Amino acid sequence: MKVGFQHMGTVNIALTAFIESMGCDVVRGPAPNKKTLNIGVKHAPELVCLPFKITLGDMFGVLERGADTLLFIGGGNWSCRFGYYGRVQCSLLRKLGYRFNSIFVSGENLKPVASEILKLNNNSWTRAIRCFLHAFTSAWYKSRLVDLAEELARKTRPVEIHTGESSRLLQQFLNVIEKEDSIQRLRRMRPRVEEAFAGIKHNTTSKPLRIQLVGESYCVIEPFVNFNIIEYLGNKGVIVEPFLTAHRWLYYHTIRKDEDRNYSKKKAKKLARPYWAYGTGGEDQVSIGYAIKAAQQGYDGIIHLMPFGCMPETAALPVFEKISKSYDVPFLNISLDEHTGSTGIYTRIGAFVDILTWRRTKFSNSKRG
Amino acid sequence: MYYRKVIGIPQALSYYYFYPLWHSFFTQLGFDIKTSGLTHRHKLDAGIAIVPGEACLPLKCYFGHLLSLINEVDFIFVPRLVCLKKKPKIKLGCPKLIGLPDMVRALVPQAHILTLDIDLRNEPEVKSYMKMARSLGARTGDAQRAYRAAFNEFKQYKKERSQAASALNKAGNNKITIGLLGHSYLLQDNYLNFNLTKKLSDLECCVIDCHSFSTDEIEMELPHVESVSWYFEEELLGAALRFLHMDNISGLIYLVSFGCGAGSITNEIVELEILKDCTIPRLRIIIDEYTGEAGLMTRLESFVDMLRLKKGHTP
Repeated sequence: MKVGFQHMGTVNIALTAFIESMGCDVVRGPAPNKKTLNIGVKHAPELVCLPFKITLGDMFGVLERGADTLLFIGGGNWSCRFGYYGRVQCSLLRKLGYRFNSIFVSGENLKPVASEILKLNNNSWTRAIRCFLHAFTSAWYKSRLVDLAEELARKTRPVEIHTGESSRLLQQFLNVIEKEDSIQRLRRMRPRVEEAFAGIKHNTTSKPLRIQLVGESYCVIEPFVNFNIIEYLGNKGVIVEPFLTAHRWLYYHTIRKDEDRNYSKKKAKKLARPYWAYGTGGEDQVSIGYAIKAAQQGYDGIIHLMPFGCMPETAALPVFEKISKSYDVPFLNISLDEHTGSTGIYTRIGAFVDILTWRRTKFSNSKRG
Repeated sequence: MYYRKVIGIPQALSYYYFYPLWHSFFTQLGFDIKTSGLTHRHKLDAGIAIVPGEACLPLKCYFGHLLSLINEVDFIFVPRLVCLKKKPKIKLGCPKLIGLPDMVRALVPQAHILTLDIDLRNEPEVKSYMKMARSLGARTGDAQRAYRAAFNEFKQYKKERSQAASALNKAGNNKITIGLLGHSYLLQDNYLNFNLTKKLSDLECCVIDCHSFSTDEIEMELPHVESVSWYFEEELLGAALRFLHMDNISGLIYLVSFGCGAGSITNEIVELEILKDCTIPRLRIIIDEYTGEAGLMTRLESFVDMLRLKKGHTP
């Protein structure tokens, strides 16, 4: 069985580990690029949101490389379009004449996945459970290690003396982690990662700007869509904290485990409730909660990323603006679609950072005066 | 002088689905109702000015209506439609309907809004209405009675509407018959849809609105298709199936507003799953605030001409 699935930032490392530990082959598709985007845009419905188009393009990529089973992520009884990605993408591909088996993966209904695992293990429950546990732990450790490396890179990048060092180190670690199979060695790797990032020469006196990144999960996690905004701003000396990382997304939506050590989703939802009473399926309520948290903790700015026409985020947009006004935090909304160019985005972000820098000098001067 | 409080209901979005219910409920509790009237350019422009550009046209229209009511009423009724059906599966409103009161609070802070959460996962509808009535100072018993009466009236209204519609549908059977699919707030707002029904009847077509089917007719069709979890879109799927089983339908027009998220998916499900092997010509019209009447007219005329050719009539 050759399994192919969509691409979503570093979620893929954990998913690949999980499926390979099950004894299946994983077809590694190309990372999202202009070509897969274009083919996705060509076949997707016109008015659908950007993640649909890109993930559809990914599916063409893995099918070309010989995948015979496709994992469709998304589903469940939601009010957001994400719930229908798998269903519509599957029918679209079938209509175009591709032949494949489909497995629908959704946080709400893990039955199809469970039955597939059972089938792989000759219908023996004990073997299936053992196999699942092994795969799960290996994916879990990998994912957590990746999360740690990414977090450390996010923190050191803005203050490093030689620009690009943290990104290089991160890439090295990602490659090592992806290839490592032994759970023991993965567990032992943790201090090594911490030491390596601590060893990067950095400026200890500078106080970089802090920006909270909120918005739609795919746009926050997948660097191709958001033009690698975290690394770009990091190299400019700005700390960007995404409200959601690949690791947190994956485990929150599968086993409901909230992996944020600093600030839980539950707390964020509670904060958001007076402004936005119901979560509508996307990450709108959590996003709003994190925006309020950022405002309360004195972040310098909030950047909100969303695909053009995203249902929950568009509806929540006025609420973000209200929060920005009442807490006096600068807020930048970036709506991404297939026509968005990197230059335009970088200009807007650059101007936004200029404003934040200016505000900081202004306020620190006024305090002194 | 005794003054009856006035409740304003913007004539957009869920108004087109539930107005009869709300009207009789509030009237029986002793309130006056004021609706914002038909849509026109000024209202729409006022809405467009404050709502984020990416939002769908009906939402912008809603805020225009709401703004026009602000100084004329005591409260504006802005319901939150979260979960509208529990069995056999949970059916939700679209995110814009779920977040509507929050959006109003953020965008129009000066409005006094009266809201209620219809979330059947938490509590039955009658309880939500009773809670709202209590917050208005009505007694529990009165509220319950008012809701029951309003609900019965609403049911009666729906029945009569579908009866009237089916009588109309039978009238012109030698004409070209076109099925209209789309949200009620687009199909019934003649400003937003450029008077589509009248344009089609001027072209000598018989038009069947998808909302003229009774609830039973829709419910009967639903088991034949894997449904979606949006309440209003589920109705559209049922209606599409219904059109498919009617033998006198010569064409389908799908009216959808630009930026309607649920529409983009339902559209595709209708195309890929329901009308897969069907040869009925269909036309998808996407409207937004920049849609021009002339362009729409041209498309309608050519569509109708094509249907005539197909039927063997000379255009």
